[in-house]
Amino acid sequence: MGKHSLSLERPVWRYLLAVGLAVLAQLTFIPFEDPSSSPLILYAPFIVASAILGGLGPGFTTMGLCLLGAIYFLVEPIGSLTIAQPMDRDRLAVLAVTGVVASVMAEHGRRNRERLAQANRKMTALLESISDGFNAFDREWRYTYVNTAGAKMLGTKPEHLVGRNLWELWPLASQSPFGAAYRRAMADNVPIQVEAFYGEPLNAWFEVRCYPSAEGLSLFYSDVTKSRRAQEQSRLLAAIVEGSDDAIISKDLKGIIRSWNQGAERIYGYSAAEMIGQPVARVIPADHVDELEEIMQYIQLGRTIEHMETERLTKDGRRIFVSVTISPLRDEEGAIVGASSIGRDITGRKRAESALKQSELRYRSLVRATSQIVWTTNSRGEVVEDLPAWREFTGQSPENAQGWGRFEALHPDDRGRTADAWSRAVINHSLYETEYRLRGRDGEYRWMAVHGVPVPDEQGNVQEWVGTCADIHDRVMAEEEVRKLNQTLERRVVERTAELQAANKELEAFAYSVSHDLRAPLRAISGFSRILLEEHAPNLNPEAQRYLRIVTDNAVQMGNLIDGLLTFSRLGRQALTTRTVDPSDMARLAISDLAPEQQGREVEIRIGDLPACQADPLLLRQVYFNLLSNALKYTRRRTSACIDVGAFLYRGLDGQSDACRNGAPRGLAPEDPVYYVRDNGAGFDMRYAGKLFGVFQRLHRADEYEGTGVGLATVRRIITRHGGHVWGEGALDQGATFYFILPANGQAAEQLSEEAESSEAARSGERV
Amino acid sequence: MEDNPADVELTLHALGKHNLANHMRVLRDGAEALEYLFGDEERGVSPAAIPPRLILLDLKLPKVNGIEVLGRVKSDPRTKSIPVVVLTSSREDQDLHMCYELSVNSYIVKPVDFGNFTEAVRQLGLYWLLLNERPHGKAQS
Repeated sequence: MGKHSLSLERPVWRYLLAVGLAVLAQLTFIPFEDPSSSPLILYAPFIVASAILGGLGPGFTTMGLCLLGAIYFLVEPIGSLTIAQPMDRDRLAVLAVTGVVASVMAEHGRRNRERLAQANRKMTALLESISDGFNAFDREWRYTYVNTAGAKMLGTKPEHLVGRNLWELWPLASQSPFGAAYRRAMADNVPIQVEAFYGEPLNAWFEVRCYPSAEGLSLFYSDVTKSRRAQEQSRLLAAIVEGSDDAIISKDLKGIIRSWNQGAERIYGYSAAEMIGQPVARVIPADHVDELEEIMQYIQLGRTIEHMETERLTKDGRRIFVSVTISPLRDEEGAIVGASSIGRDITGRKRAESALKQSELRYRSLVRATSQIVWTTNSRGEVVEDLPAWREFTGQSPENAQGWGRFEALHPDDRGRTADAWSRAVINHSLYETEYRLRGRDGEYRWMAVHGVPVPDEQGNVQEWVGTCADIHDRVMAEEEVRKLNQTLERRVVERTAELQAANKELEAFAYSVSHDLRAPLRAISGFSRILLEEHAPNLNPEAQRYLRIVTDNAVQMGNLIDGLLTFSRLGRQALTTRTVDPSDMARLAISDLAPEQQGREVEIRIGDLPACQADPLLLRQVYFNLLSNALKYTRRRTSACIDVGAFLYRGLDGQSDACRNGAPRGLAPEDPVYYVRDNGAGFDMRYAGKLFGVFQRLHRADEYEGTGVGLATVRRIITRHGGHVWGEGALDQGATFYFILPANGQAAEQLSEEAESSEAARSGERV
Repeated sequence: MEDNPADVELTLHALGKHNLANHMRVLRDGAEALEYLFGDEERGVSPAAIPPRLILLDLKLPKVNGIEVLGRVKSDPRTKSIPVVVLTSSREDQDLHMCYELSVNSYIVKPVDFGNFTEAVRQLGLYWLLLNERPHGKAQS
């Protein structure tokens, strides 16, 4: 369609053309000499041309003019508008019919063409007006039409595309989802929609709808990159929201919850399904409900509430502390439509804060309550804070006490070593413990016990030091006093010990001389008395003989006394050789030694199960000898003597017989074996139990039971030399029991026992 | 050898009672005892012609004590084989040990009781003088 056709759309031009053509047709007949013979049919092409170009009207116009011209110029009578001959009438009629038919036909064709052009124009206008891209291809994949929007999306102009081959222009397309879709649409004759990314040079997402047609393929397409990116962005955001530990909630202006992430589920315990559509007030405790309204007012003003710390209620009714940031939500136009809130559970932190506050408070109270001076330094051991208690005591100014200045208040003799100790502690992060003299306000120094500990931070680094100074001046002074007294005492003990040792030496010499010199005269008295009695009896009257016998008996008794005394004194000087001993063996040996004493008597001696002990075997044998000898002696008047040698394990005071209550030593520990010898003899009165073990102490008259009074004294001396203890229990005429214990380590207590013995000996000075 | 006259008499009495006191020689102190046994060259005293068959020795002798005498007797080849019985009042372990260390033949503590004393003396006299055999030749040398 050209400019020409466009100009003929106006009727005037078409009719001018029709007149023109009629004139032109008239002129073609001028060459004919005989107009009457001229072929009228030659008008027909002009009429047809006019009809084709101008339509029905111009066709008829041209035809009318041509007929008039023919009648006037070519039909007899020439020069008039009448028709003389019938033949001419026929010719003109044929011409007229031809003209009408041609005109009608031409008009029809013209109308069709115009309708088509109209439709094409409409289509093009439509395609140009849409925002989608549109391409049309023929079956050889050549662009036949591209709308401007489509060309723009492809970064070019329609004229650069039309006529070109798709695959040549877009080499990547062939391998892309697009190429596949196009081919399929074309081949299968089905519409297909495809959305994919096209790389260089477009780098964009396209959504393409393919429509196959008889001519080829039409494509509608749009660039969906932006919406794609937006989708991804929102997916990403959604993932972030869902993945967050914080409770991220959105609500509308009425406080109705619109979204509820997993963090919110975790923190509040409600699921999204439970909460979406519900008022947010559900998680707000009754005493915080006012908050909500306030928050909403803020939000409607377009303001954000940041890190508001408040309380919320969980599904299971717990109150939790949360830190919430609430921001307004806007729609596309920027109008506020709701609020988003991001909440974090800070209950743990709050608790820690509260505990910290409590602890801080406690610390402060302690500092106030204590009589001690509390001090703090930084990690380098320098005083940086004011120390009121320190200043109060020392009178130092705050400036003077700063850094290491506080050491100025120490006694000059203590400064050096204190500074050393402090440096060591600060460097090693170790406990700081020392004592020093601190100068008070009044200039008097007082002893302080000082303790300092490093306070670590969470990483374990020393953050600061906290310490105390306790006034121990009075204690130190008292200790000093005690020490002096102890020194005096020790000196006196040394002196006394020396005196005692000297006395012991004298005693030994005395005992030795007793052994020799006192026995010799006794022997003489006894010996010659006996000779008198045996060889000179006839010369003596019975009275004299009796006296002599008394002399002899007394001499013998004195000999025994001396012997006992010697034995006793020897025990004090003899060295102990302890080893593990079976006491029952010792008891058996003692019993066999005492065989003569049992002669002619009914005596039952039972030896029980005796645990082994640490003792000097000879001395232990002596102990059993003495105890058994006593038992035999005091059971002499029993028709049947019964003696038990036994032992039991001490069970503590509650579990024992009365025996252990009366005389057991305080130091007796459970499981210590207690050995005993029990008889059913004469016994003794417990009132005199204290005198049992004294030297020469006797509870029986000599005419009842003979004896020297050293047997039990010897027993006690042996037992105490072993570090043990012996005690007796009995009742008159009801037998007696003697108990003794020996420490596991016999020699350890020897010295101690000697002291104990001497004090006991000193107490038992009374004679019966 | 005994310094106490009472003990000497009692001992002799006890021995005599059992006919053992025939050839007793009493020496009153340690020095006298040594002179009797070994002689004294300075004073021109020669040892006893016939060495004793038994020595009864008290420990607590004046001048030279019994332990010393015992030591000399037991260390001298001439007197070594003479049985020595210590007859003493001392029951001290230290004395007892010392005596046995010096090869004493018996150690008897003098009992105060005369009966016991007599019996002890009698038994040791019987034993050492009558029952105990000893090498005669050696004693003569």
